[in-house]
Amino acid sequence: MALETFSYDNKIVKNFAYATMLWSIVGMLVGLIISLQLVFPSLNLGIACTTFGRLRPLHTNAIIFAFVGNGMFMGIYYSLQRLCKARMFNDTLSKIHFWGWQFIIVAAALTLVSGITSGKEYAELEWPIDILITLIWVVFGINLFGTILKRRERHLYVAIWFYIATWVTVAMLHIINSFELPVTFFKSYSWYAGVQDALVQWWYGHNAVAFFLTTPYLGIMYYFIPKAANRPVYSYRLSIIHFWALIFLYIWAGPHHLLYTALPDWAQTLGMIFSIMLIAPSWGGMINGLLTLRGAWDKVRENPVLKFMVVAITAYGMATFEGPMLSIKSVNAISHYTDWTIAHVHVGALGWNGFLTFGVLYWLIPVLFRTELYSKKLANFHFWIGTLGIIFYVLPLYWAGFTQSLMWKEFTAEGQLANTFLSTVTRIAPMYAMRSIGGSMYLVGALVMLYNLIKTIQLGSLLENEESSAPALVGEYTSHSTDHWHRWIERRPIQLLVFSLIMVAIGGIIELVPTFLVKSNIPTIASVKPYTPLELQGRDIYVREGCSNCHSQMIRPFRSETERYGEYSKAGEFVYDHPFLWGSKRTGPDLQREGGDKLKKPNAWHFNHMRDPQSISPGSIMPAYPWLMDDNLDTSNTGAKIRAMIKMGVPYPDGYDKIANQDLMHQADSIAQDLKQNQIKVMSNKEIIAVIAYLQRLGTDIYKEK
Amino acid sequence: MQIHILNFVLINISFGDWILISLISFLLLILIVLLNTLKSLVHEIVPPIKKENEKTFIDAIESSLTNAMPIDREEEILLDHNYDGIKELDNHLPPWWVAMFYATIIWAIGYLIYFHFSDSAKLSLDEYNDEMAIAAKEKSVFLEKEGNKVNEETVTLFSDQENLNQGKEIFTTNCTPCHGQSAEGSVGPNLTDIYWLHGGGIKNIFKTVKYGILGKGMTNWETQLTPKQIQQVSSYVWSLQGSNPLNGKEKQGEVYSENTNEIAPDSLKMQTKK
Repeated sequence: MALETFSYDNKIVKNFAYATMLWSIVGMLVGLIISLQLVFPSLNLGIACTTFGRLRPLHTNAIIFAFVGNGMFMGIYYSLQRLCKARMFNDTLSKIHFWGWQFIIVAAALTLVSGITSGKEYAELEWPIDILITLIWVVFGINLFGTILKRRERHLYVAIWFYIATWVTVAMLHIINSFELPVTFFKSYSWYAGVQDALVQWWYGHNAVAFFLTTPYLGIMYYFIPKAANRPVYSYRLSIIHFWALIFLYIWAGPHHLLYTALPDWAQTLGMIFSIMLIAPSWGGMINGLLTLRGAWDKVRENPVLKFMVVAITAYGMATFEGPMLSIKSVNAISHYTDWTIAHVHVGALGWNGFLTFGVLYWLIPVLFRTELYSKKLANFHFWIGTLGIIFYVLPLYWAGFTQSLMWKEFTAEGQLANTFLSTVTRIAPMYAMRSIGGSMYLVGALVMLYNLIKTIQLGSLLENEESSAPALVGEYTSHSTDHWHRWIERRPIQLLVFSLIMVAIGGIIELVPTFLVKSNIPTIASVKPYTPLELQGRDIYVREGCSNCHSQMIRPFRSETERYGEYSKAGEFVYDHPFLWGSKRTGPDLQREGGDKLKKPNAWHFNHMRDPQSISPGSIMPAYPWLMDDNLDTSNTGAKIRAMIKMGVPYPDGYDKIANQDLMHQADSIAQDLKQNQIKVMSNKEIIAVIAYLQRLGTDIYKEK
Repeated sequence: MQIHILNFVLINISFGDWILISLISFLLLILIVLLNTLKSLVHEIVPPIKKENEKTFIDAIESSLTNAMPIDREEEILLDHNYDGIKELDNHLPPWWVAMFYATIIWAIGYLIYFHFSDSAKLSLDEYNDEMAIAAKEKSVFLEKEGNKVNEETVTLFSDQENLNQGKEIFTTNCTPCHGQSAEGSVGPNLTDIYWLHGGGIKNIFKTVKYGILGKGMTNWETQLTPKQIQQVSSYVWSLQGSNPLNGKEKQGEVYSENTNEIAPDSLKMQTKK
């Protein structure tokens, strides 16, 4: 057979590596800032674009899609070419992919701080960016499959199975979750409402963790660990079973984010039991990674690359054990809405994704630049300060989460709640401070890495096109009787793609379809009515300011919650909520019944509280929202918003869009009038009026029934 | 607090969870063994002083758990795969891992059947109703025993300093955001003048604090304060009459005086019943 010569594209790998390094610092820095805002609320600066509610999505998006996203593409573009013995399918597509992705990141950052958001966690980006993501993802897909199809290696290595599953599942999740109806260029409403929106969102959200943060990184692990350790993969048959089991089981687990909510019980149960069954498939990856190092432990002690990787895999094992535990209903009853969840995801993000990326960078940069790492000492320093940083980050938050949850649930012997919400916040403030110290250590480590890698890059020179040669694949493969049965699909990328899609579609279909079609899943409540135009505008401001990052709107059926907040939430109450705003974290109290009898406060209270929360609640860590008092409410789009709602089945009367603003003015005037009686002079056309109207409406409809 | 934690844990742990807890213990055991495996892997590099070919008890457990081919015989299970220099072994699946996988699947099926196809399990809302019933019973038993049963009919005014100080403390924590530091009124009314929206005097104030004025911003404090605490804070508020603080809010409501017997209609009804 004739040898063909070709070259690997190292330049695109270098670009993704640079982007990974840049965004890692940006993402972590924003994380540090928002963690400090929880300790010192004045750091919100009283400016809209630097307030926690807007910066928190910036942090999560920067880490997930910018840092890990670029890290994933770096790992895939390097390993795929070598595993296929082929250059990337098309250099132009590579460039479009790279620059398109960076453009998306910048657009995301700009829109998020401007308050342009869909309000759905980890899917905050508005519809034009959603479309752009879809296009770039298709470009990536063509490049990925193009390369696979022109490969010079007959069989696909396990890393590529994971890359294929990643590509097809992320495409499915992103498209289905992003169904939204545009109102303006920067504003859309989720196509789904309430319970259905929540289910689709967490089916997406959970599997973003699975197929954006986990499967591509498992693929990367399968390439870079054996490479760095120079050891064979521990078990081929373990790879097979844990790959298929993982992708099949993962997709079902989404509802474990919605335990004890208004989601039907059967869906909650599915979320829980599939999470438990996920332990073994997840650990299959950990075992295969760690045991590949069997016989190479001497190297682990010497080599910073392997050190990072070992901690990464261990963190993966811990996080994937803890996740199922948190999915058990009685554990979740304690952990949900608290900082326990934040600690859990940071074991994954800092440990698994962060450390694996660092390990790959320390291995890859010297290889690409044909030199040695500038300083092993600095890399070791990074390893230790990073590891300590993780510990100092997560331990205080476990403590904070557990403490706060027990305080929320504590009753006195007289049968009353023992703690006000505020006192539970001030209790954990010191732990928030300790977490910031841990985060700073981790960031310092990353900065040291940046320095070390820049120095390394200066020492060497990039080999842009790396020559290689391999025989072409010719003719049909004649299989041998000794071949493992799984070899069949390893020769057929298209079948592998289709089977992966079938595997991940099953769980999604079984959970989503009945929730949409079976009426009894969401019993209607006759007294629940659509929002008034002013309340709808107020709700959109609530979304814009990211209130749901800290305030849930979902009261679980526990005595400790119904005593504090009022009647537990019912599925039928959310049927006009596009998008749902249940939230996932209670940094502040639940707001679902903020307008209800138990919690109702005068309009003046809300006004003063939004202007200066600490004057009403000393010790509160809520940011101030002074601009709501200054900015005029934009009513030019009220009609368009009502029309969009009507299109999605919200029962406003015909032609209501034309008179909606009259109702809006009328309601605004009455609120301004009431404020005036309480010595607060504010024009009725300010944004704060709409926000107050929305808050006063929250959770009140079911009381009208009686 | 300790007792409450324990109570909470006991109330919230169901049958299915006990099975799971056993499973977790089992998994932890496996984890320990796994860690030990890693330790012995390190020993392969730095051999501990040990006689040749002598198998310890731990070694035996270990090999039965991982069922891995010893490194020196690895060639036997090395596949002919070669991807950019990466080779693959074909070690057996670790038996403990297989056992764990089966155990979780069996548990999952059992849980599903128990909670959704048998009538014996309680779903979220049944759990909630039970929790509320137990709490109500405990509360009434406690209040009975403590004699802490003062209500709007039987409440009397405290005038001793200790109770008034307690009342002041409660006021400072809970009431100042709306009524001001010196009860001069801000969002809520001034409590130091003779004008009252819902009646003055210990009985009316007690009632207003206890049930709140729902819909107007006054919370029903009975969910957060004990009857005695409400008595204390109400007594403290009544003790502020005529204190005339700075920046007092303008008058709201009617003049109230003890002699006019202006009592809210509800409590009047209760009185006549007597």
